[in-house]
Amino acid sequence: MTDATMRSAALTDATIFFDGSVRRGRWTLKLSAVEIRAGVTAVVGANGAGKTTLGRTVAGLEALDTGRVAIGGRTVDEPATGRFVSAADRDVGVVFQDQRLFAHLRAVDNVAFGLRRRGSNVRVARNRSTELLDLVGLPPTLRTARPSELSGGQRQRVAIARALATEPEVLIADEPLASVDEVARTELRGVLARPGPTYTLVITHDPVDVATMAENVLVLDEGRVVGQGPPGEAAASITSRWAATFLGANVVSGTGRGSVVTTGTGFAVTVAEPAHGGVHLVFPAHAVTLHPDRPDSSARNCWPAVVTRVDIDGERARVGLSGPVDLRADITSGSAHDLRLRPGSAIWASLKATEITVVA
Amino acid sequence: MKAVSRPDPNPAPAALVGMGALALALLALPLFGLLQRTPWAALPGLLTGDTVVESLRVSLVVSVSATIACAGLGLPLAFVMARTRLPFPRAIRAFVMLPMVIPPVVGGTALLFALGRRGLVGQWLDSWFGIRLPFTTAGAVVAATFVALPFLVTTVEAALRQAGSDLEEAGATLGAGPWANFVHVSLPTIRPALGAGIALGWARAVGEFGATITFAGNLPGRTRTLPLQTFLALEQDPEAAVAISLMLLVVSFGILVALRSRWTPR
Repeated sequence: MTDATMRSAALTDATIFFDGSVRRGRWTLKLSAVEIRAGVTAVVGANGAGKTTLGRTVAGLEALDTGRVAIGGRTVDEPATGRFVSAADRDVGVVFQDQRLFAHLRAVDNVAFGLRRRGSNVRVARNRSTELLDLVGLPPTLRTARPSELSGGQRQRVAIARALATEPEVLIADEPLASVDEVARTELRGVLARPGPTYTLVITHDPVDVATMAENVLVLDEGRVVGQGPPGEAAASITSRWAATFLGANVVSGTGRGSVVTTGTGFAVTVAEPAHGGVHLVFPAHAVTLHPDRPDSSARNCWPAVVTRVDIDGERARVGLSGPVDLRADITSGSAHDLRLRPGSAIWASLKATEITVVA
Repeated sequence: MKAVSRPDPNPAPAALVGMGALALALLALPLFGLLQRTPWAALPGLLTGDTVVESLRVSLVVSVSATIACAGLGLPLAFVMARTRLPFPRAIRAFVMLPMVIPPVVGGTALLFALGRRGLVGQWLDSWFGIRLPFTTAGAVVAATFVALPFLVTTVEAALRQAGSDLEEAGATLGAGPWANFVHVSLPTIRPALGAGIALGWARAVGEFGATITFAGNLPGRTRTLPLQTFLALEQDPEAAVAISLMLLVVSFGILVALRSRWTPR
């Protein structure tokens, strides 16, 4: 074995390795030697990009047509050799988009289900499940409620606890926070990102999830990987318009006091809706406008910035900015030309308070 | 304050309402004919007569055994039909539904040629195991199972299809193998439908006449069930026939009402 193959084998052993295709009706998910590293990976992409199919294939709910999937060096699906480890025998927990709680079981027994199937006795399984329900913040009085008696957000908490109960090596969460309110979202992000599973795949549409949880991002478009890496790098390497827009959203964290949010660097941002305590500010890259001099406009927020990079993509230019906050601005390539932007240029940026969404 | 009666903004055509009422009358009328002829005073005596009690016992043994056989055989068939890709699905479905649509006498005749002493399978049952089904209580159970099975299979299969395999997938990711998933996920999910299928199958088994008399005969104490007793009594003792008919009718009606209120969504 050469050094190179040994290194690649060692790397592969500590990843989820996915190389192959899954046909689903009209379209095919086809990934070439994608490696998903340990930690939290956000899987993003437009509807129909293949995010859910990727998760289902790793979980063993879909079988590959060609190729190989390995988890931590162990091949779990390889049509050429006939190897297929069933979902029940893979160490993968899934939080389904539609929750899929067992209607006939109480909340605590839904969580205990996996432990019971793996041989725990009733008492041990219930105790562990009660701890997990506390962790995800289900009120104690609802432990014995049936799924039909719970709200959407409460069901989602139970679903997350259920997937974590068996302490899986891989946790796949498909839009886990879509059905919960903002306060619960912040809480549950902490639960999903806590150490436990070696690999956590969070399929999401929410830029805040990416900014707050993900160590890596995997961007899918029409069944192909179009970007991968830490959130910033993935955004820069994007070729897909959709993904660029998605990852182009700026997320800035700070502490709110009324209509002003102060970032960690001491920069004060004026917002249109009152904010209190720790918040994230989300605004699209195209909401940031650039000016050669201090603008005399109605925008409440303007500040001097330095251009770090300029990527021209047809009619559109993506500009990286550093300053009191690092962010991205999308402008037309025409104005990028007019402003003579290049790395190192000093300019002014402005942002309307009404363009900012405050997320608790 | 009392709600004011408002005109229905989307009324049904009058002609349909009229024809529908006629259909309902056709369905309900026989029940009232029976009630009108019922000898109420003599009813307790008629229903506790030796022959009636004897055929009631045969009916219970046969129908309960047939229901157990239905559940034991029908549940697996329904599951396989709903969850696996079988070859020739239409042909299989037709076979399953067949006993619902063919005259029971034809079913009984077919059973006789298949399971009779000289039948396709019956000759081997006889020569290898000494089992003879025709004109035995076991034969009556086979006949009743034959006619009742479709009710259970179709009810349970429909419920399994409607439930889909989403929950079974969730079960699999939690470590449940196929059997654990069946026992701990699928079965509890379709329990209401299974109950309904069992009740419908039992009701059909209790009422079975044609296939039973053709295949199992009409032997008092062995294969003479309540419907056979009713038919016999019609010539000798019409009042007894009315009494038994009323009893069977009340039981069937009761099952349907119970199903409506407990097992089917309103």
